[in-house]
Formats: sequence, C-alpha cells, structure tokens
Amino acid sequence: MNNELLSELKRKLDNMIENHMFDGKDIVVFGMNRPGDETIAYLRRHNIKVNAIVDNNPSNRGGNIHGIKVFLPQEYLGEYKENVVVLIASRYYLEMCHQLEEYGYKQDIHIFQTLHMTATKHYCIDQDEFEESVDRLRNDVEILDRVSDGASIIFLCPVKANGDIYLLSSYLRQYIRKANVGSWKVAVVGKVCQNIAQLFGIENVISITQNECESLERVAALMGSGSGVMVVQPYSRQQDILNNMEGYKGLNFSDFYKVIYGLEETSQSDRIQFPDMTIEAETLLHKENLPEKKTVILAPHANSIPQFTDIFWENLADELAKREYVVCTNVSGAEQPIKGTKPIFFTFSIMKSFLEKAGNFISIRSGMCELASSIDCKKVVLYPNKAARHGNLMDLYGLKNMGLSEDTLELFMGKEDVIIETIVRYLEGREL
Amino acid sequence: MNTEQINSLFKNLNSLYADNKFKNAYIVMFGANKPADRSIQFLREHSIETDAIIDNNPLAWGQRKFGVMVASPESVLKEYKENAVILIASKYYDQMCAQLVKMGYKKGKHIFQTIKFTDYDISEDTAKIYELQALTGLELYQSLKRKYGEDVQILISPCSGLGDVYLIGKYLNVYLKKYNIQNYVLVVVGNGSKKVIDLYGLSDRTLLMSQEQIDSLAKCSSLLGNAVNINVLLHCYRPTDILEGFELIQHRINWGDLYKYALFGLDKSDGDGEEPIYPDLTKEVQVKLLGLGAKKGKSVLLAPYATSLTSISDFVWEEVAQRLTDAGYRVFTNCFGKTEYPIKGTQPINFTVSESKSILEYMGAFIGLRSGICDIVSGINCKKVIIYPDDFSKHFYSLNGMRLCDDAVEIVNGAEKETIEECLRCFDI
Repeated sequence: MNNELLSELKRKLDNMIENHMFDGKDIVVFGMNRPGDETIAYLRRHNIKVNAIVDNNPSNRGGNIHGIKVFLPQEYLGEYKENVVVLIASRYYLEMCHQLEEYGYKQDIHIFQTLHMTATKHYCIDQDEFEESVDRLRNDVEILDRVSDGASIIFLCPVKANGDIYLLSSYLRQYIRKANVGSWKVAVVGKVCQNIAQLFGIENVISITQNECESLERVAALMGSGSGVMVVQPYSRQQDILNNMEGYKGLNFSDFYKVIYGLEETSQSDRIQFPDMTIEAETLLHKENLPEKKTVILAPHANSIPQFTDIFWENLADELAKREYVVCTNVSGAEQPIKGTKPIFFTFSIMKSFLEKAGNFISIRSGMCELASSIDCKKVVLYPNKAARHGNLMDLYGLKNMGLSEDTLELFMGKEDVIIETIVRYLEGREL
Repeated sequence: MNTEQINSLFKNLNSLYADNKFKNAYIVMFGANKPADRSIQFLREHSIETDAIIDNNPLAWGQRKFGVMVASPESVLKEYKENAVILIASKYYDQMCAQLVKMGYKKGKHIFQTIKFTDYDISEDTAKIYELQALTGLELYQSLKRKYGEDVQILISPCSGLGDVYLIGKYLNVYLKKYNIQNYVLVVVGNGSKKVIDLYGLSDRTLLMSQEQIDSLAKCSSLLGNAVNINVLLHCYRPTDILEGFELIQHRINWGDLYKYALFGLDKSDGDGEEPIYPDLTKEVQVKLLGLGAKKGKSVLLAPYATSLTSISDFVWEEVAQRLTDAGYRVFTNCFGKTEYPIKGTQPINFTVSESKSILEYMGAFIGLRSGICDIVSGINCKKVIIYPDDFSKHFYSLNGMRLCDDAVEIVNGAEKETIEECLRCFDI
C-alpha cells in the first residue's frame, strides 16, 4: 500500500469520524488485508474500537487480529443488524458489496467503500499533468546523475525496512559475480539500513533522502536496466504483480529477492557478519542488571503486519517473570515498553553479542527477525494467523521457509494461554 | 533475451548493415546462442549468409545451425582473416574480445558487440526519447478512451509471439469476470496474434497495432503508473519485467503460472481457462494436403524454428526426416517468411492458425522445437513431440507442466544421436 492510497484511506475515515458515522455503531472491517489493518489502527488512534473483522477466507476464521475476532461474513452479518457499519477497501469491492446486499445491507447506509481500488477508479490525466510528469522526470534524471556519481549501477532499497535491506545485502554479491558488474553502490534511506548493509561488509553504501529515493524509483520504472538503477524490493514496482505470487507453490519472501536478482533457486545467501562486542554486551548487561541467559528480550513492534494485543505481551512477561526471567522490551524512538518490563535499546552491531549473553529473544515477525535469525540464542517468532494470497504469513515470511534459520520456534498466534505455555516450555528446554 | 535486447540487437545490426560492414566480409557469430540465431536470420533477410559460428564449448563443435557450421574459435580464426567480421552478443564480451585480440583481430574493425548487456544510458537525450514515446502513448490512450469510454482498461500483449496470445486468450475471460471488468480493449501486434485471439471469440475487442504503438502505450504506463489504466501482459517487458527472474526459480514456476497468477491475478480455484475453438476446415485442408502429397495419419510436420529459444543442430532434423521418410512417412517443414528453409528431404508448408487443427489431425504427428506454435498444437489431437534446447526451457515452457495438455512427449536436446533416437522412438522407429 503506497502513501497515496494510505492518505486517501485516512481522508475517508476522517470524513466519517467528523460526520459521527461510527457513533454507537457495530463497526466491522470486511477483508483481512493491509487497508483493513490500517483502518483498525487508525480508528484505534481516534479511540474508536472495531467490533469484528469478517473475511471470506475460511483459514482466517477464528483468528484474532489486534485483539479483534475474525468471522466468516455469514457468521457475523448473516443475521441482519440495523446498527452495522461495514468498511471495505478491496479491489473485490463490488463482489463483497453484493454479498452483503444479499443479507439486506445497503450501500452508504451500512456498507462503505474506504478506498477506490483499480476497477472503479477514474483515470483522467490531462496534458498539464503529463507535462508535470515529464518535468519531474528531467529532475529525476539529474538527481540520479548526482547520486550515482560515476557508479554504473545503483542497487536501491526503496523502503526503510530492516528485513528488506538484509535480504538485498545477502544476495548482492552473488548477483555482482554473476552479472559481472563493474562499479556499483547501494543506496538506502536512513542510517539504520546503511548500518545493516555495512554489517554484510558492503562498504559502498550511501544513505539518500526519501525524495531522492522516489526519483530513482521513477527513473528505473521508466527506463529499466538502462537507467543503471536496480530497485531491489519486491513490492515497489508494478503494483500487485509479485503480491499475486505470494505463497504460490511455496514462494516466499527470499524467493522474490532471487527473482529480482535473477538468481537460481538454490543460490546461497551471504550471512551477516556481526562484530565481536562481547565486552560491550557484558557491560550493558551489567549496567542494566540483567542476568546472563535468563534475560528475555521482547520485540512486540512490527511495521507491516498486524500487532498483537498489549495484554498478550503483559501476560507473557508476567509468566516469564514468575520463572525468574528478567524481561525487557526492545524499544527505539517513541516505542513504549510492555508493562512490567524494562525498556532496552541496542544497536544492530551489538545485537549478536548482546542476545547471546541475554539468551532469549521473543518477537513478532518483523525485520528484526532476519537479523536475529543467525544469532545463537533461544528465538521465538510469532505470526498472526493470516492468509497471504496463496498461503499464509508463515509460508511467506517464515524464517525456516526462507532458509534463514533452522532453530527458531515459529508459532502462529492462537489461544494466548496456550502460546504462552508453549513459549515457556521452549525457553526452559522442556518438550513442546 | 528480452524485447529491449532484441531491439538493440536489430538496431546494431542495421547500423552495421548501413555502414556496409558485411560486404565481402567473412561473417562469424561468436557464441552459438539465441542472438546468433537471430543475427543469422536477420542477415539472411538481407540475402547475406553467415560463414561460421564459433563457440568455446567443445560440445557445440561440429553442429550445424540454419546450415552454418559451429566450430572452435581457433579452427576458424587462427589463420588470420583480414576481412573477418565477428559479432558478439554475450555477457562475457570482454573475455571473448580479449581472446580475439590475442589472435590479431581488432575492436571496431573486426569485432563488434551487437548487444551490450550493461548498456547504461541516462543521458538527457535518452530521457527525451522515452518522454516522446510516453507522450505518443498517452495520446493513443486518450483516443482509445474517447472511442471506448472513460473507464476502458487497455490490456497489451507487446510481442508477436503466438504462445503469448494463446495464453492470454485462455485466461482473458476468466480475468474479466473475476475483476468485473466490462470495458476493455486487448491490443496485440502481428496478424498471427490477432488470428489466435480470434480462436477464442475475442476479436470484437481486440485491436491490431504496430510495435511502436504498443511500445508507446507501455512507456506511458511506465511513466504514469496508476494514473492510466494500462496493463502489460508479458513477463519480460517493462513494467512487468520484474517477473523475468521466475524463469530461474526451477521446478516451481512455469510460464503459464506467470500468466494465470501474476499477470492476470487469478487463483487455483479459477480453473485452467478456456479452450480455443477452431473452425472445421477439414475439406479445404484435405485438398491442400493432397496436393502436397500428404498421407492421412502418416505425415509428420517438423517445426524447427523458434523466436525465443535457441535452435538445435540441423543434423537432428535432417536425420529424423530421413528416417521417418524411410519408414513410409511424408515429412513437411513448417516454413514462414523467407528466412525459414525446409529441412533437407522435406517439403515446405505454410498454413494459418485456424487451419492448424485440421492440418495436424490429418497428418497425425508434429515434431517441433518449443515455440509459440507448440502452444497452439497442445490442444490438437495428434502425436506431439516437443524438443526443448535445455532443462531450463523444458521446465519453464513445458506444455504438460503448464497443463495445456498431458500427452506431449517432451524431450530435452542432448547429444545429437540421443535426441534423434528419442524422437523416433515415439514413432516406433
């Protein structure tokens, strides 16, 4: 979902909020998709609670996203309720709408389209807009010229995402060998991504601004490989194309990087080379008063998948504390620690030494998990039980499926007490 | 080879031709690869014959392709030839060039690079060409909107391959239904493509355009993205060329998957698409075939030419033709245009897509190098032997794997003798 769509969605929701259209309503999000996640998060920030999620995919049924239960449409809406507001942002809007009309719901009374996607979109572009695009392109070419500064190819990571730059870096050398590339550099947005590429031993990596990045993307979209920019991210170019392949015949997120680089399926990736910072890690542990191997680092934040409820993390932290673990939450920026845990911040450079000393890492699937995948500590990664096109999130992003880790406990979120029990057993080395 | 590389190949060959470089030259292709195939055919269209193909792979030596011998660089060029023109289209250009320079040949005089695989060009001029193309595309798009309505979706098949449109025809209706698209136009290039689309009854909303027009629509879509409703239906063409890398994800994704799942966004539950409907031309075809001396059920059509995949040795075809003839079969070569010659000992035959079913059902058997014709043949009731140049292409383009049929005998080209025997085994010879 790009920024343009995101702001369109927010505008629509703002409009509905201003007009009190959610007041006293049974609010339902139809479709467990990215716009659905954004809708729930956005409404929550405005203190509006979504009551239910409905989805036609039976494998999503019974799940729990952001603490909201998932139903089949007929289960929750089959029996007509006057008081309902159903929000839809999907390219299948018309079909979904028809489905609800069968139950007696009406458009603009009960059913609201929060995003106009493809089929119903109006395509009007006039000469002025074209001129604008062309002017922009000229500017883009100048920017590219400046950024490339003589390098014949730029590998661009167009998103500020740790997992993405990790994968870009891990297959880069294979591509360079294969394609016989002369002078090159990697361009990323932000210091954090730059740092991760450097941990792969990539020296020539530069950090560029978001605007520069978009310029490079546009030139690449129009001129392809002739531009000397290779956009190394699966979802940045022609919309939907790679999303359409998710999970098909087991295709996972790493496979998409191989596809972009044109590498064979069996290609081996380079591993990240963390520096040895044992001494610094010991100092940090000591300073924070954390016991070796009995410290658990929680990483509850993720950018691109639905989060779990705070209650789950709090209960997990409680249970671990009872077993004499010291529980910390990994925080950066404005992120808040889980109640009852210590906030802790560490850089990616120290991550390996620190986690090996601390002993335990429990995370929602986020870009941090790629970084943690090769670290020798107890690792638990949790996935929302959610479909992803032809498979589910674990098919697509599972560390084992992606060939990143064999020893991580990977679990779908289910009944919270069962999940907590399983995690505790795993950390204590008991049978699962 | 993607469309851009092909275009650049032809551009470079044309400029060499215009500079009279091929006149009285000893013409050599370095690398028995697809660009060499295309170059030989390009020159043949200008009545220029290639003298030799050289390759560093000993397994290729001694083969013939389109009548041209493949040999080692030393055997062909060791004795210095002042008039040599050596064409190279390979990622290993630098190494190959160094090899030739050691033998006394010079860049720009004897050695020419016909495709630059790292052709970075972001000069203002290039950007200007792209802009102009995109503007032409936009005007074209706007005129289509005026004619078909504001909400028209333009689907473009930017290459003249018959296989591409065969697959588009198969899934188009399923796609339109699934996404509830009532207003669309399919744009194709080449008469053959249009005829394939006709078999699916989709001709009402199909337009034939020139390659330049189609390219301009695609450029417009690349520049303006979601602001225009233009979808490209090809996995190796910008802006959808991100899919090209799937060719290497072996044993999993095939070409049909890319059409069905990626380009059309369908799911497993959407089925295997529609079947083409051929007109019944049995009578007309019978007359034509009798005139050529075909025997019903005892004739074989050879199809040795392909636009995307690398050709195989002439000897395989000649030997197969000879032994089939000896066993009482009449053997024909599917020839189109003036660069496709019949295999020695066979008769040339040329037919339209709509005749193909009646012709092959009469003949009874088909042996072809994997090309777009094979997609069409897949749905026809005859013996089908398909030869793939390598394991990769067999996996990616397999007719059986793509579920276009389940009765094709699919052979990977290996040593000449083995390929010949495998082909003939299907005929109990």
